Amino acid sequence: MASSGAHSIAIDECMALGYVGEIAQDYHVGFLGNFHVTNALFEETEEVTADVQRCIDEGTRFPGYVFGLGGPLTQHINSSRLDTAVTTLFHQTRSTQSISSFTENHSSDEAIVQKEDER
Amino acid sequence: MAKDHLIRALRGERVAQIPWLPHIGTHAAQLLDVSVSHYLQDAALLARGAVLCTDRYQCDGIPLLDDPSMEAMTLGCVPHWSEQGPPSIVSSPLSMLSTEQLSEYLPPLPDETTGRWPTVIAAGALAKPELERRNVALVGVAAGPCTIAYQLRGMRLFADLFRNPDLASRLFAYAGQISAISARIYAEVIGCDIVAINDTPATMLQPAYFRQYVLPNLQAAWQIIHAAGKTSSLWA
Repeated sequence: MASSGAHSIAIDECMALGYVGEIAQDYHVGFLGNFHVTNALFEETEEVTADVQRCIDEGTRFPGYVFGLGGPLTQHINSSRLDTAVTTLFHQTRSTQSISSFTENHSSDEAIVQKEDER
Repeated sequence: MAKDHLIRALRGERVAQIPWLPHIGTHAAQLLDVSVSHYLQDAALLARGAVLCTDRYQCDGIPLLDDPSMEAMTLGCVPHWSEQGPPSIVSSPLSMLSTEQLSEYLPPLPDETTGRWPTVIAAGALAKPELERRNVALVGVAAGPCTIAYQLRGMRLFADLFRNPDLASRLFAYAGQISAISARIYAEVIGCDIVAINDTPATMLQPAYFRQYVLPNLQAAWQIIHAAGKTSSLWA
């Protein structure tokens, strides 16, 4: 995949992100992934914050890392868990201004979150 | 600098902040409180969904449409629509044909007037200015050669790889043309900043088959995306 000619690759949740980062670095391409959608969002058996931290720790060892999901969101999820993932990412990696902006937007969506949580 | 950071990272640079690009699937339908079948076939909903997800999750790029069966439907595959998940292909025009018949029955190549493309293009026209105002990248996600070949031929594709490699080569070459057409529409007509080729079924192939059947048939799409000055990505 890294040698395909694309600027970047995105990998699913089965791959070790650090291993992919090494390959991406060798081929000078970006890499995207691979938050555990199945366990953290669909089945809710894995801690969201721990898996975001795994992505940050492994991904940032190499240039060209983009945080992303290890698969598409193809079923209903508890959206507040994805909110938590984004909050964790921003708290770990972004400026105070960005975090404030996300928190304000998140607050304005509270009604949506509550509605979904009721389902 | 959200979009700039994302594009630079996707091109292999280390950037100051980790960019964030969600593989959003059909999640926007949930946020919009509409059925997936309605969401995927309505330009206004697709655009609103992209903007809503962007605002809610503060991402640096967002797919306009994340439906790997879109191209297959333009080629005559019949979908089964779902309320909560993406459509699945239940009938494929090439699945029952003999190997001898296959080449002569390849569907005509689509263009921007075919199938759901007018809806997707209209959605792009609505979403792009909103995302530009937020400095967020618009992402086009096209189906890859293996995805398209598999949807057209069904499980018989994998038998073709063993028993009829010449035929499989022609089918993959045709599918690569479809991927390139999608890449052109996303890059040139809609003006997406990033165009991804999503080819998850290709990960089922052993490396030799991936090199033989998939890699050569991705090149036309990359050339189109790069010639348009856009950023490319291979999703699996």
